[in-house]
Order: sequence, then C-alpha cells, then structure tokens
Amino acid sequence: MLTLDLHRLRFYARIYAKLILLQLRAAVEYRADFWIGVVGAVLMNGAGLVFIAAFFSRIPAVAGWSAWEVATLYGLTMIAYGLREMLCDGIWTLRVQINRGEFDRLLVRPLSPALQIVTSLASIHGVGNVLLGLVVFLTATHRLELDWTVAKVLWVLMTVVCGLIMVTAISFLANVIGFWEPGTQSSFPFMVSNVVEFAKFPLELYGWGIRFLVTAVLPYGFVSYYPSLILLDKENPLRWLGYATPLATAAVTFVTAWVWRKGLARYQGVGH
Amino acid sequence: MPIIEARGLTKRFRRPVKPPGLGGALRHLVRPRYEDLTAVDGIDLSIEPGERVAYVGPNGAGKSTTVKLLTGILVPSDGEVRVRGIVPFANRIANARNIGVVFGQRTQLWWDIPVREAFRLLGDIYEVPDDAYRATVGELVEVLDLAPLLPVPARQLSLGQRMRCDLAASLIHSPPVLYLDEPTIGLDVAVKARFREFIRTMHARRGLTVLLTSHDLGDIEELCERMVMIDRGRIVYDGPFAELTRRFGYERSLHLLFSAPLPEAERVIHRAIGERAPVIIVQPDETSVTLTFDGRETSAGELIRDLATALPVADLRIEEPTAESIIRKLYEGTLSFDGADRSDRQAIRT
Repeated sequence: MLTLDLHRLRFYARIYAKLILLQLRAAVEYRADFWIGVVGAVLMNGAGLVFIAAFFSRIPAVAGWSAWEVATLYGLTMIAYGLREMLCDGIWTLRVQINRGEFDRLLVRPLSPALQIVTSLASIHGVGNVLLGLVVFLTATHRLELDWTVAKVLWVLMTVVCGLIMVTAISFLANVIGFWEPGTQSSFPFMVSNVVEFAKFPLELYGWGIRFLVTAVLPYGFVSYYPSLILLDKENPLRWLGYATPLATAAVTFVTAWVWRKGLARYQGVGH
Repeated sequence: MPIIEARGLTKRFRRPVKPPGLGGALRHLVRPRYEDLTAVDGIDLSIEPGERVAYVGPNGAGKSTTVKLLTGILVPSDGEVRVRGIVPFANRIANARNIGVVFGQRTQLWWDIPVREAFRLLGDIYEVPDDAYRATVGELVEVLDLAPLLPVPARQLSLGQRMRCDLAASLIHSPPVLYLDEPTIGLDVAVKARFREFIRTMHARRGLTVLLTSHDLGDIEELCERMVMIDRGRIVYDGPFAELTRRFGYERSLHLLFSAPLPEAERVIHRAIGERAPVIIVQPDETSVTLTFDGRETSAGELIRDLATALPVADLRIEEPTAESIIRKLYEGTLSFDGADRSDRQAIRT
C-alpha cells in the first residue's frame, strides 16, 4: 500500500475533500456551536497574546527576540494548529471509535482507514485559530518591515504546509495508542499534543531538555521556530536546521505511518 | 462454486489476565499474564451464491467473530477463508467492494451528514458509475420509502429509519454478498416485518447471498432456508431450518392435572410405566405433574394409556417441541436424551 498509485492518490484526494467539506458544513450548521468554537479559540489564544504584550512592555527583547518576532512564531503555530483542527481533527475520535467498536465499519469500506478517521470530524474551533493566527502573523511581519520576496512567500507557504502535516502527524502518533489501550480516560494524547505550546516562543528561552524534546522527539520546533530563523534572518548556530523542515516533517510522518500500521495490524489481530 | 468458503477457520484471542485492583494492574505491567481464548474453533462453512443463511448461537458463541473474519475486519489465527475467491483480510479493499455489511447496533452513516449526501459519498467511495448509481438509489429509495429521510442527518433518525437507511447504504454498490449482523435488534414488529420483506425482495431481484446473525427466530424462519448454529466456537448444526424440529424435536412433554392431590405421583408413575421408557418427572405441586420423554422411544399415547388408570387424571396437555424451544435448549445445552445427557437417562432407569 506504500506504493504510489497516482489514480488512487487522486481518488483519495477527491474523497477527502468531499468528506471534509461536508463535515465542515455540518459543523457550521450548529450555529451556536460555531460561534462558541470561534470565540473560544480567539479568547484562549488572545490571553497568550496579552501575556506577550504585557511581558514585552517592560523588556524590549528576550534572548535576542523582539515582541513582533515572538508574535511571528505565535501566529505561525496558531495557523498550523488551527488548520489541523479544521482539516484533520477526526484523529481525536480514534480511541472512542475503537472503544465503542465503531472502528469496524471503517474496515469494511474500500478506503484507507486512516483517511476515514481523519475525516470523521472537522472542528470549527480551528477557524478561530487560523483567523487569529493570520492576523497576528501578518501584523507582526508588517511591523518587522519584512521584505516580501517571492522566495519568502514560498518559504512561508512551505512552513505552513509542513506545520500542518507535522502537528497532524504528532496528533496521530499520540492517538494511535488507542489501538493498544482503548481506554478513553488517559490524557496522554492531550499531553503530547500540548507540547506544541513550546513552539509559540523562541527555543532560546528553554533549557536543553525542552529544546531536545521539541527538536528531536516531538519536533514541534519545526512548525515555527526553525523555519522562522530563516524567514526573519536570525543569527543562530542552528539556523541550518530551518532548511531541514521538510525532512523533519517527512521523518515524523514516516514514523507515524509505521506505528499506525502496527496498530492496525494489532487491531485486526486481537479485536478490541 | 461456493461464494463464501471457510475451512478450519479459527480465531484465538490472547487476553491479558489482570488481577483486580491497582496492585493487580501494576503487577500486570511488570509481569503480564495472558490466557488464550478460542472464539472460533475450526469452522468449515460453504455457502453457494444466492443462499440465505442464518448464523445463530448464544451470546459469546463466536458469531460476531466469524462475521469479522469473513468481512476482513479480523485476521484468522488458523484456517482459510475466501469470499468470491478473495482472501478478505489480505485484500480488504477488493473484498469490501464485494460485500455489504449492516451492523444492527451501529450505523454505517456519518452522524452529522444528511442521508442524501451520505449515499452520494458512498457512491463515490465505491466508484459506482453515475447511471448505475441513479438506478440503484432510485430503486432503494422507492422500496424502502426513504424520500422523506433524504435531507435528514443520521443523528436525527429514529432507530427504524436509521436501519432502513443503513440497508440502502449497504447496497448502493450492488454487492453480491450481504452480511447482516443482528439487524433487527431493538426494532418494533412493523419495522421488522418491513425489513424482512425488503430482504426477500432484494434476494429475489438480485440473487443476493445473505448471511444473517440474529436472535430473532422470526428473522431466521422467514428469511433463511438454511441455518448454521455455532456454540463455543464450533458448528453444532448446519442444515435446513425446517429439519431442526424433525431432528431435535424428539423431546416431548406431557402435562397432567389431577382431580385430587397426589403428593407421591412420581412413585406411582414409575410403577405404572415400568421399564417402558426413560421419563423425567417434575412435580411442581400436588395436583399436577410434567413428564418429559423421548418421542423416539415411546409415544404420548402409550404413556397416557398406562397412566390414565393409575392416576386421577382430570386434564392433560401434550407439548410439541417448537423451533424456539429446541434452539433455546441447544443454547443452554439442556437438550435431554442426547449425547451429554445420557447420564440422566441412566439415573432414571435405575
């Protein structure tokens, strides 16, 4: 199944787009839920932004990063995370589906179960995060008087796409635990997922442990920090890692796919 | 050539044995212990195209596991399985195109998506050509009367409505094989009747092969000419449903009502019928008694002739075995005068 079959790939892309659009439409139809989701996301991240503003009102820069540079990281992370919530939130239903035996039905359709899981939910919450993230990112880069060349636009696009794939892959990895332990109480996936919060600030702020964690274990650093070293032209011995963003994303995706296969094989072996 | 074929099909599960409490859970982490559980134990099954087969057995007998093995959800531990020549677990996607599956307990539809869109999505997923899609959905909507349900999302459907939509959803790609896993669970009589009518219609029109698991005798009786019964992972009966009563229906009961109290009826009966045949006697109260006997060895007529003069019989009733009572007894393992129950018989003779 790892072989690239173009027809199959196009087919999957089409089915994915249809499913996720229907799910988003359904989510918008719950009007109250829609506004609670959007406003909730804005409020939650708004609080973080207020913190940054308050912090930098007294200190002009931290570890060589100015307020608007930090805001750039913040915005990029929010965009990637929000897109994940909009487009791939279904992974969070995996444990519940396994637990309730609903996962079975995904295996009797002629479609990849991973695709079906990803599209089983679209969170409108993400719309708020993406919008706020965009506003923050664009304002920050404007204030920094960033010189928008074609190369930089492409770089940002690459960063966002890789960021989306990275946060999705890590969420996947965290939830695949459901194949082994389908109890729905464990907060493990949330803990793993929340490590993304570190990516909203420059890694210079943290000790070596956390730096190692978000670079080599759960490489959220590649969602915003490392590519921003290049975007913002920062002097940093690890600047070269920014260019490794697509590589790091591919590596995490590969590991996730491998663990997913193991999990699926286990499910088909022992049931639940 | 059979459309569904299983040989020596076996599924063993390895379940962790966790001692109770937190201490037990911790001990399990350090030194895990497992027990083997054989859910399906060497099943041979061969189903021809167009057959309608009821797959029955008590809870936990291995019915659902078998269905999961046949649909490719589970990988067998041993044995072979082919559906339309395809090994389901090895070629899950190709197999999925050949089968329709309805799980009575869960919906196949997407919770928040209207039925119409769900059908269209399934049409896309199964790559049904446009004209075939229109014809099939048109037919299904008409036969199942789905028109008013099309704009409704699955979460707003009643159980009966949902079942009708699920049936349609399982047939959109015109599969030759249809698995129904407890499809009528929780449905009212009217909806059940409609469901059976629908399956009969689709069988007649398309020559569907149907494998049905159900606890509802009506489903089995009205839909399936063949019944396969499984108990503790093994097939205990495979044959025409109608033959069940002939083959296992030898156990009859004779209920007697006395005109006067008779506390020691049992002794009197034994003396009256002597060595004629083994009989199990149950006396619920002083004025009545129930005799259970093997219809192959004696008849109700002979027993009544012997007893009518010995006992003050006021009224009597003969109970014929029904398919339901036979199935229940097979489930419970209490079918008397047969195999394991020989010991009873010895006890009565002595």
